[in-house]
Amino acid sequence: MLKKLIKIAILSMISGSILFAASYNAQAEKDRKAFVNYFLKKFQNPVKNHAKYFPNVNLDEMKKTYRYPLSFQDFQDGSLAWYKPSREQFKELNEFPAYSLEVDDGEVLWNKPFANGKTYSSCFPETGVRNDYPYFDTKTNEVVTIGQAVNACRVKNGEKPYKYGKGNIAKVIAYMAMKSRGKKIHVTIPSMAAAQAYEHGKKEFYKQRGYLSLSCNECHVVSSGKRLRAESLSPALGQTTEMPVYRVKGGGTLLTLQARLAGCVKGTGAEKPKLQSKTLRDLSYFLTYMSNGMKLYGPDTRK
Amino acid sequence: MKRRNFLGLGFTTLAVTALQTVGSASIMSEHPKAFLETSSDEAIKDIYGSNAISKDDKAVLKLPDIAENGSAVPVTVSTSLENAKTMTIFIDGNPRPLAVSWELQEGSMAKFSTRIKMRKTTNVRLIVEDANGKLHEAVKQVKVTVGGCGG
Amino acid sequence: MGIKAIAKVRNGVADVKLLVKHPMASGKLGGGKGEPKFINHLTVKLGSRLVYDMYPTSAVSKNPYIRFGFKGAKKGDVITVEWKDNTGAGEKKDIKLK
Repeated sequence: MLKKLIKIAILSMISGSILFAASYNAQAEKDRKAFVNYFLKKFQNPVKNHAKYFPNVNLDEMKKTYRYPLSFQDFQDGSLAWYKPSREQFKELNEFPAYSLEVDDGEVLWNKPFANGKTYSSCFPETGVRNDYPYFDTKTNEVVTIGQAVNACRVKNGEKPYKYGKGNIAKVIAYMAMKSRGKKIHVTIPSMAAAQAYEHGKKEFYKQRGYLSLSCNECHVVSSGKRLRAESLSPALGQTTEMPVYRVKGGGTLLTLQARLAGCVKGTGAEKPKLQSKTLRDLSYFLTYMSNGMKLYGPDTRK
Repeated sequence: MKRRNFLGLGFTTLAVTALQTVGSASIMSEHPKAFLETSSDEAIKDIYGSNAISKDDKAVLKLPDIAENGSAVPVTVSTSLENAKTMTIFIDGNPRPLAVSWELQEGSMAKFSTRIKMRKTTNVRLIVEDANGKLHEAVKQVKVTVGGCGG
Repeated sequence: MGIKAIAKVRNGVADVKLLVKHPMASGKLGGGKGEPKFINHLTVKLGSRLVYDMYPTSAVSKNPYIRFGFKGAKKGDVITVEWKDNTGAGEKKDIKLK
């Protein structure tokens, strides 16, 4: 009898520790489900739920210009998912997307051997690994972005790292993103330190910044689906799927997620965070986690 | 193809020679000054003189109401007229309104798409010259905003 | 500089989309700095037949996208795209219709 009790005690301890391990993402899962549910409900029928979610938006305009209901995967298109005039225009702009020139450049860079003869293939199992990033490195206890991984590969092979944000690094990532289309986001939280990074990213998302006291949440959750001056506010759900993003503005620039996050924060009147800072990496970790399960579609064209 | 000597204009940015094209003269060879005009009316006068321009449905201009970004505004021009000769776009508010021109060929589908730059909210005009030299115009105002976070 | 194409034929009518790598810089002409550099003539020929004749200015967007069609085409035909810019630079490329 005692042997049996000991066996049960040991088994429950083991399963308890397995359960405990799995619970590193328990809070994140709660957050994510609530996040997804909010957006699915909000964009299910904006006209019918006008009073609840869009009390000050012109109802006649909504009837003419809003597209709904939005499925989970629809959120990959950002504001182009719900705002018909933009969607039409981008369909035209994407008839032969300008980013295809960037992807071509990225392919050339990807295949060009380093001085030591090796290529990026020696660092990555395949090209289409965009959906494996960002991830939490349990050895260094840091969130690692795809840009950092590309540069780590370069440094490991005796090359100078690229500058972050745009240019060659964006082109290489664009090629990787193109090869990753259709793959699902699957961010995991494997340790206590990872959970802390997640919580930090979440805090950054809800933090009010700058002289306008805006937070990511304010525009991309609460006010998502609304127009602000000539901007259509994109929902935070699915925001990382189109990265790197080819912005039409200024003749056309390809930007990484890091650059877009930093640029957006600056655009709201706050101090521009440093690319690959803990703030932006943890924020991208949180933001990408929220879109777990969504298929990637990058690069894509945006305003 | 007639060639004009316009070195006197002091502007070396206009090419003296165009690519070798079969057929009649083009807007570029015949009316190079039009490319330098700073008003649509002047450019139109340079090319078409004071010929009457009919605002009708023969010139079809497709443009968004609000441009996502003024640096790349998708535009499609078309006409149902058989054997139209030329189609030309003028952007009123641009520093140099004459934006782009097409010489139609035998067997051409009279429908062209491209992307244009717009400096600000302004009217865009399409002038179609038909087989008889008559002019048809379509005008559309496109709103352009500057700056913004991208949404 | 680079010309990319998606060119198809359906029922004898060609539908050609081109993406041309070119800065189409307005420079001083647009009130900016620097010398203007923009394609000012782009033609497409099917053999000796001219099927597209376009005169852009720096008001055409960077990396110009153009779409056009012409009759009397069949799969396998080869069209020649040629452009020239105001600085005298140019490019020529053959494209097969699919």
